[in-house]
Amino acid sequence: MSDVPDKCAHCTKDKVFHDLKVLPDNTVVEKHACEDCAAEQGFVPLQVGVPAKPTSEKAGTTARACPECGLTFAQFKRVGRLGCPACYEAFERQLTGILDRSQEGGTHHVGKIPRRLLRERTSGTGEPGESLETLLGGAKHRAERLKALGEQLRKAVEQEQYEQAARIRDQIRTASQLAGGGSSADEPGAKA
Amino acid sequence: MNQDGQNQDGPSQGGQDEPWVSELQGRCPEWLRGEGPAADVVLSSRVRLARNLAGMAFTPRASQDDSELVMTRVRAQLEQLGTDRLSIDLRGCPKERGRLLVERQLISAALLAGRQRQAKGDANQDPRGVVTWLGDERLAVMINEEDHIRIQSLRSGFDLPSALRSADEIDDAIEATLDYAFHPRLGYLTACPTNVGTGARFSVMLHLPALAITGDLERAKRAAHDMALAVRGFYGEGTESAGDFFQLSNQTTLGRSEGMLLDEMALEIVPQIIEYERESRRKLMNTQRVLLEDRVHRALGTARSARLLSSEEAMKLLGLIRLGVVLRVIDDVALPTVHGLMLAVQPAHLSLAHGGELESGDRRAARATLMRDRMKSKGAG
Repeated sequence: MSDVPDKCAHCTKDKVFHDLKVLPDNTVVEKHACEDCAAEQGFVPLQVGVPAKPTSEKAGTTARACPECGLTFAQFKRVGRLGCPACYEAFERQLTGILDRSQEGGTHHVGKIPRRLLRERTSGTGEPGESLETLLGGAKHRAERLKALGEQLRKAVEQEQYEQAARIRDQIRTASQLAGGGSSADEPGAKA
Repeated sequence: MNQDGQNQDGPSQGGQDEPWVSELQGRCPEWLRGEGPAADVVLSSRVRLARNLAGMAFTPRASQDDSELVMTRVRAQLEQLGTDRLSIDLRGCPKERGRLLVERQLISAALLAGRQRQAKGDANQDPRGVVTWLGDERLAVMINEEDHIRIQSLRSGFDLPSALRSADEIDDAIEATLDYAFHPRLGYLTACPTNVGTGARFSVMLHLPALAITGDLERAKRAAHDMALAVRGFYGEGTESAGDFFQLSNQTTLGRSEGMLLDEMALEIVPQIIEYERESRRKLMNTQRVLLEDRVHRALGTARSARLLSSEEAMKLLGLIRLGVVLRVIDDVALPTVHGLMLAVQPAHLSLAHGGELESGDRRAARATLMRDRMKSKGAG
């Protein structure tokens, strides 16, 4: 690691990390800075706490900016807001922990589906090439959603929350119909 | 009526030259009428849906042009809905008028400040606005808040199902021509991942004075926290709970449908807290009636004679008077009068009622005068 200096490029601290910054034009610059300076200047620490090994593979996964809006994960962490819908895919791995903590383990949406889009895609009247799958996800997503609902149902029954259990059962019924390509317009979230 | 409240004369004095200003500030909104289920404990119920348009940056990262486009599209879509629509462009909206909307909970303080976009420049020129319906105010659509669209539906009392139905309808009406950002696994995509999924937030505004008196309030708040609910004051995030008013909201938006979230609030958690408060009220009435009557009547006495009142003191008095009214310890004040005052004693309401900005000292005097006037006779308000 002779190419990594032992002093921060911005201050005199001697604990140095290999950091990356993504510029607005999506180019990546590498810097060697201490943790404080990296955070201050919006750099993404390649591996906090461990002096870095500059391998390009790691750089690619950690410092990737959203291809649509250019937001980096470090920027998101600073402001707490994502830049655009595509950020959810771009930072899928990093967001998993955050979602897990804030959503009580919820991983799949089981509520309302935009009604017009659902109608168009089940009847095939929407834009060509826009299948129901692009709205509801492939078989894997649907199976996972049903599995998550099944788990909730088990818990509700265990805790003797029967009204909640009945609601989940309805949800499973609707999700199963949609999974089978049924044309239920009476979708989740419609009931109050 | 279809008004555009965009200010043409620059950010100057908040006067009453816009008809909607006097119309709004003179009335107690529909959702604060003191009617509906469990209105003795629950002031109001609220459903908020967060939505974003597909293929566009979320507001914090949007360009001025993006935000302008969102404004145009959403407002055009809402133009087709209902009469008495009031569409307000907040750019250059005089300060006091904007605050009036915040105090009436039609918009958030953040939307008024216009600091959602991270781009540098004059935050006040960020395209943003609200659409609501005059003579009702139960429905409001904020445009270019943290999310492009925030639908808010309010109901008097404990009535989340009706609030959800109405929010759901307006959501469909917007989606009739505009594509939302929606993900097969994650549902409705939002700027903050804590809202992703349903984008739905269910809240109830509770009045818990008896639990405060008996010292059981902390226990109720802890129970709410344990059930993953957020507890806030009357004016939302970061506000104190003067008057013992508390807002309870769900925090989970992913993995549970709107119906399931609603059931948790409507069937399990909130009814328990309502019953807990009612039980404490009964206990106080049975065992410490004189103490209760003393507190309530002292509050009414102060409201009817004070010459200077701070906003916090006014809310405390109104909280106790409200308790007196629902327990029939006070029989010559109506609930809507108390609720109307909860809005009317706020700074922008007071200033606008006086035709301009008031200094803090003058405001305290104006607040006390208003309180004395309205508390005089039954039903005035």
